[in-house]
Amino acid sequence: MYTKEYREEELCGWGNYPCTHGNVFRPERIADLSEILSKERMTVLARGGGTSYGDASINADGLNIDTKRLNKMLHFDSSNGILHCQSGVTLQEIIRTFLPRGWFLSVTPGTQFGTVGGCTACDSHGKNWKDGSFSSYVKGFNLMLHDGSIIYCDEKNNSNMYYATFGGMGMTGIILDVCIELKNISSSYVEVETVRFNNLKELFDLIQESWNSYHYLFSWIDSHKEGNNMGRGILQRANHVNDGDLHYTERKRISIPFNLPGFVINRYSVETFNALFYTKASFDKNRKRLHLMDYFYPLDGIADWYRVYGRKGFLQYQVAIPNDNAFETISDLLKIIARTKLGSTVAAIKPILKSKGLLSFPINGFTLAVDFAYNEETRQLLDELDRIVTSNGGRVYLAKDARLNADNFAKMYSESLLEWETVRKEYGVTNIFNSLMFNRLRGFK
Amino acid sequence: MNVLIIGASSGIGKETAHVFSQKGHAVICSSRDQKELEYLVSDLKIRYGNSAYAVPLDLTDRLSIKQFLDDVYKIYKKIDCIVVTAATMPGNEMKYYSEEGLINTTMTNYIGIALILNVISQHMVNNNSGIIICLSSVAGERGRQSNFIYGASKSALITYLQGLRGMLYRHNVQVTTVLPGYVDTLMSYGKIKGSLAVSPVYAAKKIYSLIDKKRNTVYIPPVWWLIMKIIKSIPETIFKRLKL
Repeated sequence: MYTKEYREEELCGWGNYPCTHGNVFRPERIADLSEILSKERMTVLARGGGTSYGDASINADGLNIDTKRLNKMLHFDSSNGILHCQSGVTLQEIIRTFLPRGWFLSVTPGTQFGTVGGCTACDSHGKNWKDGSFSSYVKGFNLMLHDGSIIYCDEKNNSNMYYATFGGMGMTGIILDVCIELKNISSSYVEVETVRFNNLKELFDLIQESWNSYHYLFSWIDSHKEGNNMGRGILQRANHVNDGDLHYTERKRISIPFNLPGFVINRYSVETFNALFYTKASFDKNRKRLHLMDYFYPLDGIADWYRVYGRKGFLQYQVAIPNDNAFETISDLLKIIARTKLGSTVAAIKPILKSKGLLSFPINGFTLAVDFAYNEETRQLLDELDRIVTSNGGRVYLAKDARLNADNFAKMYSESLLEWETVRKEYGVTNIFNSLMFNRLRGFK
Repeated sequence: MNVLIIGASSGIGKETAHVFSQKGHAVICSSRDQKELEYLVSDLKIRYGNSAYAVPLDLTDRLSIKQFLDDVYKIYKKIDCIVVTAATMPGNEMKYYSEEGLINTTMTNYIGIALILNVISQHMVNNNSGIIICLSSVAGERGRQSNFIYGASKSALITYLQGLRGMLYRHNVQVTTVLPGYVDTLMSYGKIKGSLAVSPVYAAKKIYSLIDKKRNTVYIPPVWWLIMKIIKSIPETIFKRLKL
């Protein structure tokens, strides 16, 4: 057998910040991976689609395991929708294979280019907040530890590792294959109703009103509006339709061929866009039928989205705030964001439901996500927002993060962080799996 | 068509299995790693819903090849097409005079393959039809000091296929030699820049397009025809001084 070597590659997150070079190995067989791990002394990190926004999938001074070629589907049980597949299978591959047969992902994040392994490690969530997050549908998985040994984790076997891996951001081992439960559907369309709202209060009322009758809820808000119109925007609520029209066609992707100059995203361009977008919604039919691909993955149509923000890339700040003080806290955050005018065109609010992973992001409450072009001013603003989020029992979503500090991380995830560390120690993986993100966050006490 | 793919568990072979299966052909996937073969076969069946079989094969084990062929002909009465992508390369840490490296490489890249083709070509002659697509390498076209144990095995395979082509020509059996340049598989991973290599999916689609084309020798990607023309034209007195 030929010698297995590493390749130096540029490693970036979805937001193109940070970007760095690192050693990558891309196994084609499980045996390739166990061979490397059994003799490797560097720290290791699994990297799937690279669709986390910041530095979660980058291991700058260790070894990055590119899992994209570990993408075989191993078993599918059509009686219960459980798919057993390797971790490098992308959500797109699952949709392409199963949508025409009437199955869809039970929970999906906003991109189809993520992998099953990545969604498990991040415990991604979607627009169907009532259904929980990705981990709610992960029945079990095989995890490779530092020495190349493999353990099976589910609610009964190695259950502490099972819960530690959801939201564990790859720090518990390399997820090899996952059993996930798909959802039976009878059409590849959803019926979407679009409703405009004038401020945050109206949005919360609308969400309340929609809880029971809509499966998917998502709202876009204008992060620049202050005063009475603060938090104005558009709510999309949707349900599956039952017309039996099941089909999948590959969408063409438009590519942004180069980085736009940094000044393209500025206060005025964002405000103009936001105003047009808000106005346009009133002309749209308020009920329309949308293909699942167009509803769930609107940004996937544009390759290299980060280039809109210029060379430096962008940050997304996504936080979850507990129900009790969600409205007040999100108001406070929006007030500050609107004052600085740093927010970009993408800003969203959704309800969210507590998940089972030790470090899973979702809690019972609401989540706010805002994009910012990367710069020093943004960093300072986000540090300020962290303080508000922390003191209100909220937390930052690590899959989107590139700048949270160790102290705030420890406060936000204090509920189960120590337990998580204990599990990692028990399995001897503490100093083996690492990432740029964890380098930053590991200083916690 | 009934298709047999030798070397299917990774790289070009795996993608070739995908292309054939997706186009509706039955495939038998063979390679050493039985577990990976079973994974691949499940994957093909789930994605495309066509028949796929796993039959393990160790090309370095001469005595097991007969058993392998028996197993294959138990599944198919007739093989319409065989694609050979299996290959090995002695590791960098292995000196050129390593006995193990020489025997292992020659068995896998030439002798094992020839033993299989010897039998299958007989069946194809009897049926008066068949397609043999066999991957060698541009490394087999000129011996270079950096990689000549590998190159020599590939060179032997090229010569073998030339002879076989002539032999089978009048029996309506296509024999196509494929000479890949850099392909982004584990064999070249980390040894060359990723951007210089074509994807194994590209290579697999090219291979699929060769069916019924009666081509003799094909370079993947085609630019390697020109590169090899130049490399082959360098006089030996100069070539031996080049650290290639």
